Amino acid sequence: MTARQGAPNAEPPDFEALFVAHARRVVRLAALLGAADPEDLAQEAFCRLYQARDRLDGTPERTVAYLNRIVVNEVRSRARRDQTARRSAHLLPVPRAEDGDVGDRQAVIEELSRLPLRQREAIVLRFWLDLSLADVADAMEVRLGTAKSQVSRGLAALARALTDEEQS
Amino acid sequence: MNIEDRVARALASEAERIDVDVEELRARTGDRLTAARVAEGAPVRPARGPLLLAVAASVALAAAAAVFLGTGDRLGPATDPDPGDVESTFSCPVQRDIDVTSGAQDEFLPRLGRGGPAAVADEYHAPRWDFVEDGSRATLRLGNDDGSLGSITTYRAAGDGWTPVSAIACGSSDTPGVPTRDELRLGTHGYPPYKSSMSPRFYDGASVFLDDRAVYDYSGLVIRHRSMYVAPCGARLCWDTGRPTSMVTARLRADVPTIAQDVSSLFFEPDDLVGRANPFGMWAVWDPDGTVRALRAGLGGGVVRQSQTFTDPSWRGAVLYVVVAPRAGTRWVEAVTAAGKPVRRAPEDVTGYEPDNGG
Repeated sequence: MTARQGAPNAEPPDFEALFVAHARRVVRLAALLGAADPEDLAQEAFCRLYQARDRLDGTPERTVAYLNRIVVNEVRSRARRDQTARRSAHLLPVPRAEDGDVGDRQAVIEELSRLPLRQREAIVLRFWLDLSLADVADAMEVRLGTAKSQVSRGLAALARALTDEEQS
Repeated sequence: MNIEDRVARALASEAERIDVDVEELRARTGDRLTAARVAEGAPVRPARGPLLLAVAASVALAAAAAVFLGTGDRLGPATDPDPGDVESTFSCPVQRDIDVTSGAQDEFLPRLGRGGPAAVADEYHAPRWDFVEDGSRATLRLGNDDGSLGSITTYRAAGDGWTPVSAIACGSSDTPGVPTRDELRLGTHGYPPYKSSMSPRFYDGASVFLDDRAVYDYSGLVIRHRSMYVAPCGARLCWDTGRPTSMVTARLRADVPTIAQDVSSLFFEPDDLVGRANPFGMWAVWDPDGTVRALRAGLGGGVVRQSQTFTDPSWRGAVLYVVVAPRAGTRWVEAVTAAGKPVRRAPEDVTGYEPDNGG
């Protein structure tokens, strides 16, 4: 959820409201991006957002976009620090015990966890947060063309992997 | 199903499986902010109570830590009223006289019976109380958890008991709301909101928090706050307010996003408005497809209140615009289309009885 003033020059962000509005989403975003400890990462993200409050222009859209960037950067940073354990437990391959939608979710999430980190970021930001490609680029701090190619390559890789798996 | 839809569906489903305890996260984040503050060498002021918390909010980091820590959440009846330690003077900004002799009101009747003052405190869920006898007169003070005074009732001796003579309690007949620093802003106001009771299983998108604020009980005590949430339900928007004691549901239409809909009666619980007025007007538009850009209310002197905007990724682009303004001073409410055209029409009250569906 996004809480934002309708006025062009909104007041400085209300952190309490911001926290309540976005806490759940931030934890889930961190988890889907592969953070080993999404709740810890969310705490860190909100602390960093708070520390940067003086640099924010107060418009809610920018504040939320900045929060997304913090999360993406923090996931990357932690992944670099701990290359061997960058998959969160819930993204690790799980036994395929269920059929139908649940089985398909497991298959997609499992293949997602195997994508290169940038492609995974692009896919999650585009298809879970439903961000525009421009906003995906902003959150990833890359050019628009790069965001497009990461989404495209990620989708193609997922489609390939899922097709292979279904045929095997 | 194409790969895009398949991925979106899997991600949405996976995200829903991740349970988040927001209150716990808030507490831990507060700890971390406080630790950062200590590391910086700045003093951290403890938050003492609701009003102090609001004042302390101006001290940026310490106050944020206090809010995240949830130290302002002192509401809820104590298990056993605690005698003593009630302040002797009011710290609340407004008090009102209560007629305890004529029988014209029955919301607050602190009659001393066999149970004595402890029973009165228990009846009104007062965390603290103080009773002083002075010859033929007596005084009962009911206090909040932080010791602030909620009400004073005086008695005179009558036979083997006491008869109430006068009572003064915090609050006014103009509103049940506890004054806050920014009362026209939707959001939190000193207390961690209750969790939403709108289960995602029964709605067509996540519930989104709108507002939480405390109310004065009729006894003048601050022992309750209510949280307000919204979630899409079919082609409409459902509202859930009054947690934890009651729920009021309205249905905001999506087919007329340029006509403001009056939801003022959801601002307080009906029971809290008995003998009181609602000074707030709350208007909303529920826009499923980007028809509207904003909602605003015009007050006297050319003052214009702008809407706050609420949405969620699961709402698939739909947006709720809500503007709160003093009801008496509001001259017009208008929606602004995506093209920038203002549409000013009489708001439609959508919180009443709906004969078609019994709502």
